[in-house]
Amino acid sequence: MSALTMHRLLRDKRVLVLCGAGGVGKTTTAAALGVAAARAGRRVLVLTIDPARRLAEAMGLPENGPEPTTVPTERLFADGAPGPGRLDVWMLEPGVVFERMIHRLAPSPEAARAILEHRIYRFLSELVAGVQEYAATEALDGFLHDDRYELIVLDTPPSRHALDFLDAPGRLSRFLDERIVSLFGPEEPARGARLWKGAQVLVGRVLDGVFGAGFTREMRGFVGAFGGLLGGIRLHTERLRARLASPEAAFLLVTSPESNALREAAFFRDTLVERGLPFAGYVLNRSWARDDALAHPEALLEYVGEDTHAEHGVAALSRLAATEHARAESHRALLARLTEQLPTGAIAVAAPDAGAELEEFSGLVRLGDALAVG
Amino acid sequence: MLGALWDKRALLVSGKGGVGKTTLAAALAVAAARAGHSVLLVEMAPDEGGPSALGTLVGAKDTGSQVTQVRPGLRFVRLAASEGHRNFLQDTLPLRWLADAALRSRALRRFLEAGPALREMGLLYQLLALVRRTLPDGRFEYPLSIIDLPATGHALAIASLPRTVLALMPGGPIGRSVREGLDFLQDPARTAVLLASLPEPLPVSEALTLASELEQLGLPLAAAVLNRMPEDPFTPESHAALQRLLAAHGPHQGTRALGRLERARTAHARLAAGLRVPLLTLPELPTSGAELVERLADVFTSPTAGDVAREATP
Repeated sequence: MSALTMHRLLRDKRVLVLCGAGGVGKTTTAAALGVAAARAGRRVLVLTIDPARRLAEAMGLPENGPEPTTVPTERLFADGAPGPGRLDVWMLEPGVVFERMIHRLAPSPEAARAILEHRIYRFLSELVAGVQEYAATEALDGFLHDDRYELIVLDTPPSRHALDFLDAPGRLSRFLDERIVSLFGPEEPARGARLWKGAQVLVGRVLDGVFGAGFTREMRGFVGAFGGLLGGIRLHTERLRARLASPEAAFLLVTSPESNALREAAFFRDTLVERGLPFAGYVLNRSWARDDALAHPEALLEYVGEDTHAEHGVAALSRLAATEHARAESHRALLARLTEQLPTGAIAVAAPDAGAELEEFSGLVRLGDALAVG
Repeated sequence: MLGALWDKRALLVSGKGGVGKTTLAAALAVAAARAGHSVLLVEMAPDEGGPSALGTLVGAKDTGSQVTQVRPGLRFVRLAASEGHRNFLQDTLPLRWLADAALRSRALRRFLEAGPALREMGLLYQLLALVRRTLPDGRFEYPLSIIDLPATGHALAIASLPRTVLALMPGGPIGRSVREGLDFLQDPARTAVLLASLPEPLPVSEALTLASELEQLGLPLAAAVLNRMPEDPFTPESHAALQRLLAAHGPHQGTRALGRLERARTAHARLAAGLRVPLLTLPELPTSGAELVERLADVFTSPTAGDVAREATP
C-alpha cells in the first residue's frame, strides 16, 4: 500500500520537499528519490544545498556550479535501455542565487551593484538568519517556471528542527521590515517635524553607543540601498507559499529510527497541517526494519570442525545476530507506530541502511528502487 | 584525563548534529558533579522556543533562563540571547535613561535577534557574565561550566562568531565584549573543547574537518569522544576464521551488524590517526534518555576511563 503511494508521489507531484534535522541522510534520500523518478521516466531536478562532497562524487557532478548539471544517461541507465527520463542536480550556491535575485529585483544595474559591493552585504547571512533557506526557495520558485522539469526534489538546508526551513524566508523578510528599516532609516526626515528629529537623535545615540558610529553609518547606507527590494522579496515568498500549499507539492520528513523519531514526526505533521501545507509522510532512514531472511549463524557450526577460532567466530556472530535482531525489532515497532498514526493518504517508508555503498551511483539506484517499490 | 578537564573553567562540547553531543554534555556534567565538583550545565541553543532537550536529560524542571539546581553539585541554565542583550545594553549604555530607551525599542531588539551573529553575541555575553560571577568570599560562583554548543550546520558558529563580529563592527562596545569572549575561549588554561563523533565514515570526516577548523580558530581542543562504539565480540583470529566461513557459505544473520562493526573499527582507527589529542571511546548502550546519561557518567567515573584515554593517545 505505502509502496504504491511513494511510487505515486514520484509520478504525480511537481515538488517534493524533504525536511529533516541535520545528519539524518536527507540529501542522500533526496538524491535516491530523484534517481528513482528519473529512471521511471520523469524529467527531474534535485536541488540541494548541502555541501555533500561524496554524494556529488557518486553522481559524477561538480560540487558547486552556476547551473544544474545533468547526470549522464549512461550512468542513470547503466543497467538497461535508456528511458525518456532525465536527472539534473544542482548543489546550489546561496551566494549565486542571492546575487541573481538582487540583479532581478533592483531598479537599475547601478542599484544592484550598490548593494552587492556594500561591505555589509558580505555579512548578510550573519546578520539575518534564513539567507540559505531563502536562496533555496528563490531557486525553487525559478525552476517551477521552467518547463525543463516535471519534478523538483528539494533537499532543505540542515537545521536543528525539521521545520526551520518553513520559517526562514519569513524571518528574512521580517528582518528588513518597516521597523528595522526605520531604525537605520535615512537621517533626513521627509518633513522636518521637531519631535521626529528628536527621536532620531536619541535612536542615533543609542545605536552609536551599542554598535559604534561606523557600523551605524554603514547599516544606514545598506538599508537605504536594500530596502527597496523588500516588496519584491515579500511578494515572492507569498507566491511560493501558495505553490507549496497546493496539491502539486508534497512534504516528506526524513528521520532516523531513533527514540525521538515519533515525537519529531508528530510535531512535523501537526505543524504542516496547521499551516495548510500538504503532508505526505515519513521516510525512516537507515532502517533495519526489512527482513533479510538469512540463516542463523548456528548453521555455520557444521563447517567449524576442530577450529576453535572458527567456533568462537560463529559464537561472536550469533551475538551480533542477536543485537541485529533487537535493532530490527525496534525499527519495525517504530515503523508500525508511525504507520498507525498516519492520516489517510500519507505514507511511512523505511529506507534500508545502505552503509558505505552510497559512494557509488549504483547504491543510489538501489536505495531509490527500495524507496519507490518496496 | 578527566581530572585535568575538571580544573578548567569551561568545557565546550562540540560536534555535528546527531552525534549524541547533548547526551555527552549531560553525562560529563553528571560525572563531574559525582566527582565532587560544582558544575553548571549550560544549554546554548540558538532558538529559545520549545522544550529543552538538555534540561530534560538531567531532570531540570524549570527551563527558563534562570539557573536551577538539579541535584547536589549540578545546576542547569538555558542561555537566552535576549537576556544577554538586555544585560549588554544595561552595561554598555552610559546613561540609565538611554539604556531604558534602547530596551524599549522593539526594532532594536528585533535587529539584535534577527541573525546568528548578534544572537550568539548575546549568548556569549550571558555565558561570560555567569563564568565571571563571584561569591561574597571571592570564589567563583560557577567554577566549572559544561556547555552544549548549538548543533547547527556550522557547529563552530559560536566559536567563529567573535571574528565575524570583529570584522563587522570592530569599533563599538560589541566588538570589545566579543574580544573579551574570544580571549576566554582561546585560553587553554581556562577553556577546553571536546569534540564528539560517531564511528561511521561521514561523522568521522566531519569531526576531522571540525578539528582542523578549531585549530585555525585558536580554540584549545583537549580531547575527542567517539560515541556509541558497537561491542566487538571477536578476537583477531576468530574474526578471520569467521570471514573465511562467510566467504565459503554466504551471508548469515548478523552480517549487517558485522558490516556495521567493521565500519566502526575503520572509522575509529581513522579518527585516532587523524587527531593530535586523546580519544575516549564510549560503548553503545541499549538505553536512551536520562538513563543513558547516568550510564555514560558511570563510564566517565570508572577508574579505567583515564586508561582508555591514555592508551589511545598517539
